[in-house]
Amino acid sequence: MYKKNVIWLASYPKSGNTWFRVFLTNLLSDSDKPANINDLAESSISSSRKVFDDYTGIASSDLTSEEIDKLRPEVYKKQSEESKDLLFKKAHDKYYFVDDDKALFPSEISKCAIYFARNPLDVLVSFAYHSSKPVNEMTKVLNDSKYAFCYKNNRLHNQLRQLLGTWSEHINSWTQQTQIPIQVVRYEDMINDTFSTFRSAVDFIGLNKDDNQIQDAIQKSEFSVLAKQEKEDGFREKMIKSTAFFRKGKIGDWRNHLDEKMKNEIINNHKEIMMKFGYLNSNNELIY
Amino acid sequence: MSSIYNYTAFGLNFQSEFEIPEFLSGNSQPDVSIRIGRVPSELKNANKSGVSYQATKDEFLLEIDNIARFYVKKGTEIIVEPKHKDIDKEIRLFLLGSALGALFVQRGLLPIHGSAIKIGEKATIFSGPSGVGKSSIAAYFSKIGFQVLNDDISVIDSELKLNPGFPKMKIWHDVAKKLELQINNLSEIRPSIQKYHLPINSVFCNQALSLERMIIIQSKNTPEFECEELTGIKKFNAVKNNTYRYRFVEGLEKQQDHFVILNKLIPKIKVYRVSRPQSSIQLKEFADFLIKTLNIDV
Repeated sequence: MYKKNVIWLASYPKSGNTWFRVFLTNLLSDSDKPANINDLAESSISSSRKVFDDYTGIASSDLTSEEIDKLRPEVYKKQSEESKDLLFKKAHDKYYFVDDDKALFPSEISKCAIYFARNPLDVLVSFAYHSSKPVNEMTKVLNDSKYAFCYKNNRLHNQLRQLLGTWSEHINSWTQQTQIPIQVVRYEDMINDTFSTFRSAVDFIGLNKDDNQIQDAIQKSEFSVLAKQEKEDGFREKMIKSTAFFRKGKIGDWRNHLDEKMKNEIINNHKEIMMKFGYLNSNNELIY
Repeated sequence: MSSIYNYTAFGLNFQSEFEIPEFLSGNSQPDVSIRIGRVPSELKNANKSGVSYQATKDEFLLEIDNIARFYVKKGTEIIVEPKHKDIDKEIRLFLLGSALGALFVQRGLLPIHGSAIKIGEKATIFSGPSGVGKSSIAAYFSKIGFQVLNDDISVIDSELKLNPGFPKMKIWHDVAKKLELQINNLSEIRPSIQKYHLPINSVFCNQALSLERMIIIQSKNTPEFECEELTGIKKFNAVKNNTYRYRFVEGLEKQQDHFVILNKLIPKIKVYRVSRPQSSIQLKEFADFLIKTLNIDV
């Protein structure tokens, strides 16, 4: 009855998700020109209020976040049912259950998930710039178990509430669930070993693309192409106060922004997961 | 012995078995009856249904968990099956939203997702996605002396008139503060949501008006306001895409009626896409921009 046609592109913010979405758009497009960064489909955002309202027939603005959560899996099922193609859906929510046995992201319709991971020290700096917040404030965010987007119930947010939790909780929630096949893609590997990292992700998803097609899509999605497009035409996923969404994208930029105390605060809180995903070695030394 | 209540709203006369205090009373022959009763658990041969609704050519069924089920038939009848004993404001919230939206589509009317005000002798609709500030800017205009025809759903009939809804708006806490409203006096739409019913009787325009323009609001991440008049297919699609719950039109097989009324309406109105800076809406600046750009007499 269900089609397994949904691929979740899950990540904590600022970890390469948007880069990969642009890559996919280029890979699946027939055009010779690089895809427009402002043409990434609205239907591909899991927390879209518009998609929710359209598919339920109810105004989400009249529902509580808990009521919305219970309906979100059904919205994805409906989208899956009506889609002839694979559906790529970006998610910043952690993986969690909205009811006793009902996951927010239903396995019945899920083909697989890609989880984008990045050194939390670089995430912190990038996220701070993205949100126009001082880096010391962002340390608290990465360590905040209750951290969420769009959670206030006294105003209408443009997106639905998204629960993120701490950086470690987020990555754990996705990688420890066993309902949806998942591959972790590290931002650092996307930069250092671009072709084989993207090749492997494409193979995991099961897209039938040859090396040339992948190489071509990588070129059309290079950081410089995206930054140039943003400079010329803007990017609608940028926050108003931030100067650019595609800012630096570099590995190890945290060294220019974090002091010893901030660095240790992150490492002490996320040691286990940083080791597990290759950001700290067994001597507690940073790898990037 | 149950009472009967008569109301007029959206150009229609309603006869209801229960009180709908949001509506203004009316006396004439009812176009629509609203009653309490059992409703079907599902619709056979439902067309394009959604997560919480099912639709056939003549029937529409909406289910809101723990609140009620609504059955809407042929544009003349609404049956409400409450999950709890009383008809309360929470039930009426969804009755006056999606259930009415389906009724309008069944009747071949054009419901636009937006709030409307009277400018000169004609109506202007503020439309756009949820959260963009449609109600907020309409409420601000009411504060500076303009009348309001309705909030959230603007209904256009076959004569291309925009019919007044009822004298209540729904305003979020943050916007209520910006409008300097006394929040303590306002009733929350639901106990757990800080969004309030704002009575607007003193600024309510209870008169059907011709539609002059539609302002489709979007937010963007640059600091200035922008306005573009839409023409051609962009204009058509912009109005179509801001139909209140367009999927209901498909489910109720009303695409043809919808297309006809859109085609009649579009040459007669102006449609603008207005961008405002994202994040917290600056109501005075936004209103000033619209007044200046569209030459609105204040």
